[in-house]
Amino acid sequence: MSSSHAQELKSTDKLQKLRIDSGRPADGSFRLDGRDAWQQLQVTGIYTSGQERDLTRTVRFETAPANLVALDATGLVTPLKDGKATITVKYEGASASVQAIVAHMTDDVPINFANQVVPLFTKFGCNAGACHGKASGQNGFKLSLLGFEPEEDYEYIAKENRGRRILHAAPAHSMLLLKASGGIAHGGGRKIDADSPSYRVLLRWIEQGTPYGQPNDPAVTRIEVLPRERLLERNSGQQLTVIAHHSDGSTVDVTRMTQFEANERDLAAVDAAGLVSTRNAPGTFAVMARYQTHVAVFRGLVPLGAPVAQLPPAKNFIDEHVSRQWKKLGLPPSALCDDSTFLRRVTIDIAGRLPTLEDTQKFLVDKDADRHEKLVDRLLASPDYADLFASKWSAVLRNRRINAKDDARPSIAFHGWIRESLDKNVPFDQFVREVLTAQGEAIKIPPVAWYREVKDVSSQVEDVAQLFLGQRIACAKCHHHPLEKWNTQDYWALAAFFTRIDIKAPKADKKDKKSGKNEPGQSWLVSLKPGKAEATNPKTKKSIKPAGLDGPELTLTPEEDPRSKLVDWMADPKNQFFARALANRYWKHFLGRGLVEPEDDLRATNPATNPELLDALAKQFTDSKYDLKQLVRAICTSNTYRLSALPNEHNADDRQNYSRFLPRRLHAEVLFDAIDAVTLTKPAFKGVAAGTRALQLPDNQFESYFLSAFGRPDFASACECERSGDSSLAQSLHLFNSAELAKKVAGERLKKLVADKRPAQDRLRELYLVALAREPNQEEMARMTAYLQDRSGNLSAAYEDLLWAVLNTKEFLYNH
Amino acid sequence: MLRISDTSYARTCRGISRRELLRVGSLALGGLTLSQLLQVQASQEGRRMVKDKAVVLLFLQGGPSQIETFDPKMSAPAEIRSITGEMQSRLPGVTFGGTFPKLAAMADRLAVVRSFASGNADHQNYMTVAGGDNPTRAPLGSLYARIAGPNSPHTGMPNNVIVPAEAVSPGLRLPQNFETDSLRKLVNASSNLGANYAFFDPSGGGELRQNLELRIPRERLADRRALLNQLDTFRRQADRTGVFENAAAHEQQAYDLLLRGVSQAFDLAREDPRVVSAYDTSNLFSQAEVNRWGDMRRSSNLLGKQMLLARRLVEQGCGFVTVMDAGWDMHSNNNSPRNLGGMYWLGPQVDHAVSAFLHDVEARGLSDKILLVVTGEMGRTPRIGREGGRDHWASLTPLLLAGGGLRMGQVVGQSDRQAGTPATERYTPRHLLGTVMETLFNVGEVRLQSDLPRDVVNAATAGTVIREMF
Repeated sequence: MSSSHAQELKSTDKLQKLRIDSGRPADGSFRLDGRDAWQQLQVTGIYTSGQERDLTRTVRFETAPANLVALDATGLVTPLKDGKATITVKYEGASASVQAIVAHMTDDVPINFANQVVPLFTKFGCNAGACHGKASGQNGFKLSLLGFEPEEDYEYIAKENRGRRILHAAPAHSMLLLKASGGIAHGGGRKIDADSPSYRVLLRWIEQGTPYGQPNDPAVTRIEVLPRERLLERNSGQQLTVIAHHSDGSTVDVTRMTQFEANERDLAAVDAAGLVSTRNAPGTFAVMARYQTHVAVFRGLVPLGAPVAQLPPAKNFIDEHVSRQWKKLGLPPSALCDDSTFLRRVTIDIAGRLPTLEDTQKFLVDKDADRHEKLVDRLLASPDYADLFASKWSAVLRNRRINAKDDARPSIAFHGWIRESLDKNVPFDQFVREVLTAQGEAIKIPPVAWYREVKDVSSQVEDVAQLFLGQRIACAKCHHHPLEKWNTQDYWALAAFFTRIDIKAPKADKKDKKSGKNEPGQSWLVSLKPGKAEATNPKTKKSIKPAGLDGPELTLTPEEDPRSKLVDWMADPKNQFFARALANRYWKHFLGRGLVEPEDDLRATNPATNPELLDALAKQFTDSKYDLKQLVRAICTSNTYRLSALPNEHNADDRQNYSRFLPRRLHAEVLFDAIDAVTLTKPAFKGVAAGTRALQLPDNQFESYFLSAFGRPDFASACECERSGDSSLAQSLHLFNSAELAKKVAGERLKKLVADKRPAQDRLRELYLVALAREPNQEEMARMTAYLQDRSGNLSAAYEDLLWAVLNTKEFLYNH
Repeated sequence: MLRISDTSYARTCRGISRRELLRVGSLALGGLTLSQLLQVQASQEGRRMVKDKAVVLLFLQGGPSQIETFDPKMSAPAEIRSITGEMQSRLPGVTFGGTFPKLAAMADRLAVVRSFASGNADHQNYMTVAGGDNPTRAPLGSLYARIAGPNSPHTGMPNNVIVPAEAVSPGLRLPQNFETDSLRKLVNASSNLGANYAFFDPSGGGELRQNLELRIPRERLADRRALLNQLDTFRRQADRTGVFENAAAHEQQAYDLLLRGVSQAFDLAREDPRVVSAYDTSNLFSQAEVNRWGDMRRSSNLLGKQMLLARRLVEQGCGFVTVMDAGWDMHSNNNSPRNLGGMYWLGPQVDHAVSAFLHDVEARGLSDKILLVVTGEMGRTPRIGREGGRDHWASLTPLLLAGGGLRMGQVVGQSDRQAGTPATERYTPRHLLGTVMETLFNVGEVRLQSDLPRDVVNAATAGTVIREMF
């Protein structure tokens, strides 16, 4: 219904005006210099509603005079003869035109290697990481990754093995061209069609004597994508144009030399020519355009266009920002969920457990208007909050032993310290400071254990960047980051904060044979070496001073702990990364999807779906002096968090804009404990105090097939992606048919159910309250009682089946 | 993961499973039919990171001699050259060791790498080879499963299976020796990437294997399933959002597996007896006689059946099978027969089992889809010792490759005159890693996977291919 609604809208919307853009206008014209120049044109219709639509592939192009330029159906202009041509488009009574100036068709412009040749290798994938771009090259021929180092490429092609790859006497017989065009066998196949424009550029470059270019040739300073953003209908298209700006102020169209990548596969795809095609789902998406070391972004907004009449009242800034997005998209949200659902949801999300029978019975009769807020406060004050989040932080802070036999004390101490910090609600910047600046012996100084797994400078840089700044900077260790502005300089400047760290592995107690005295061993030991905080860029061999990302270079005295200065930079309210990264991480915990996905990949080229909301969350977090509980409170008391998981007639396809709650399977430990709670099983992990629940385990060296199968993380990296919420066959088999579950199902709860003297309905009602925080509805009750009646000969088995079935419902397995 | 849509097994199973489902009367509520399921999975696979290929790694535990296997060096002095002589192969000028006539006769379908060196001279350390020296120290099969998924999306077959002799001989109890310990270490290392990706060992034990055997009567599972469908209110209400798509597919697989038993694939009794006898190696030597020697206590005459099981598993969707064959530590001291006497037992067995496997795979049109890798943790000293044995050697290791769509009918690299070190570019376990990963994945796509941990991506891309194979 919604799509016909949109179509209806379209048919009443009349074209008012046409516009034709090259992206590089100078007095209403653009230049095509040389035989191999081209220009992507973009034709836009402006409609009565104010909406702009791409008509590039719909309109007809006319040129006058006719023989100066050629135009194809995609709006690509190529030159034929020197002169001035007028290109005109007409459509539904409107028209527009632009002028093209063609020059240098006979006297060729000298080719610049970096500007014209290298981008071809990138475009055709020759210098991709899987091909000649990898460090070892491919079949003896190497190129710099994605053409980031044109000078090296020039070495490889024009100088290395001279006479082998280039044949000056007969340029067309150069191995470079023959291989690329399939003239001789090439492992990568035919990449460039002979006599295509790209081929001709390579050929002419060889004919011109393989020049590198002049030192004062213009260099690309930035690229620009046109349009920058646009509202797009579902299942429609938009041509993009990418313009490179040069150091001398000139411009050139590089659309067909650009790599495009869309960040939301559900919403949109983009092809090599820069044509964006939207799909059926509404929301926002970004297309990253990458040309050599430069990146730029196009942002698309795909509305659903349904009426957004009734919105839940805004409880706080979160609701304001989210509902603005719903209105923009025409995406009506689901209704608020009922109290049972909210109680179960928020208890699982804040406390990592099911609500108890008493919790549920009390909450369901509570009529207080503030009962939701008070519940959130109660949960935040409970020790369970610290249990859940200690488990989360323990994993990404890599609190693990390699073997179950290793000394458990550092793990236990670190886990305990994390738990206590969260329980006391230590400000997050202080928490991070205590981890990073930890010094001394593990166990005594618990966060020293972080350095046990994060041993070398690279891991320290990369973990800190990913965990606390939402930056995946590892690529920049060796080369320019392909998706970001970071280069090796940025990487090693960050590394300079960590170069003074000295980590000593633990030593066991030793008995001196001569004296008979005990030499006590020691645990992991972290100290600072004397000297200057600086790193060496392995590529340039230059020494680099410490600096945060985009931050000033620091000169530190030997007395200053460089790590502390790093935290100063991170915790500065003006820092662009720190608060955003945490806010996005926590938002995902509660809403099931980060504003940026993956949650620790906050690139300029991977923008948030709702940037204003991310900014507002980050501001709230910064203003509160990094108070984690306040952030949780803001999220959990919003009406956005309280929406039902059930779709309305419009929003079933939305997974991006929080128009309904996204159900997710309970985390491994939470599910384990929930099954124990329902079946009345006492957990029995070895090596911890009796009754320790799965969620309270200090690390992951406690053997449990269940926990592994359900995606308990390995604590081996700083990536949240280690924890898997995916379903798997092993999980289904385990729930359906494992000895472990069979035993639990046949345990205390079953005995209690069978022995209970109350009518069956009362027993079933209690089972539902415990497992699902609600009473069964009439239909469910009827089915269950019928099941029991049919099997009155063996009631115990019948109750066992019922218990099994309840534990296997999606309602139980998921937080919803 | 290999996907074979038209085997008799799949036809049978689809039939049985459908009837089963109809019988329990829950098809309507139980969700998808198998063909719908395959559609769902096919659409999820869109990116083609995982190629339609599988690897069988035959690991010769103990350190097989590079000389008596595929580089006999008869031109060298007597104290170096092959004790078992040589066998002219199908390739002009190329000979194999004397106990490999069948493989020599099909050398045009094999590739032998004579410049491969594991760089390791220790049994305990054989992860170096079994893991292709990847930085996570997990075996290749675990690395594969971590990227491709723990189970085949088409059949539910576990994707990383290890096949020791016990897997084809229920109740077999081999005596213990150093190899038991090495094997245990390998199996432990297979959970380096998480237990989900550890070896699936069909020889008893293992919760996943146990979970495959239905514990309750089929009728009761059917009753429970019907009851569950009635009570799954929330699922019905939210289904249209697609949130349970994956879980539903897995549940369907689980029911299918439980009701028809994937165990069938593990059961050689279901195989055509003529095929079983074509593989069978149990009449080649007496196992009891071989097991008397300390270093050969874990040797068996079951390799033929192990290779047959490997083929059955791959055919049912398993992407990586590691076959373990023990007893190759031939020092010829008191723990193994003099003058590399063990070669006359184990050599012909490998010759027979591997050639039978390759012929069978070829007859089924799967040669290009299955890469067989035969190697061990190290090679052996070029110079024969006083008692006629060879000791541990790090600088050359036998390596045989077959199928997988790679370039066959060639000898890659050369050893020096003493068959002691590579005379051409030295290939290392990292090259094996690169070759295996390149066969199984579009490695470029793996690099781009943001949902894989960095360690895993690094490990999968740490190798370099053996150039001549592609």
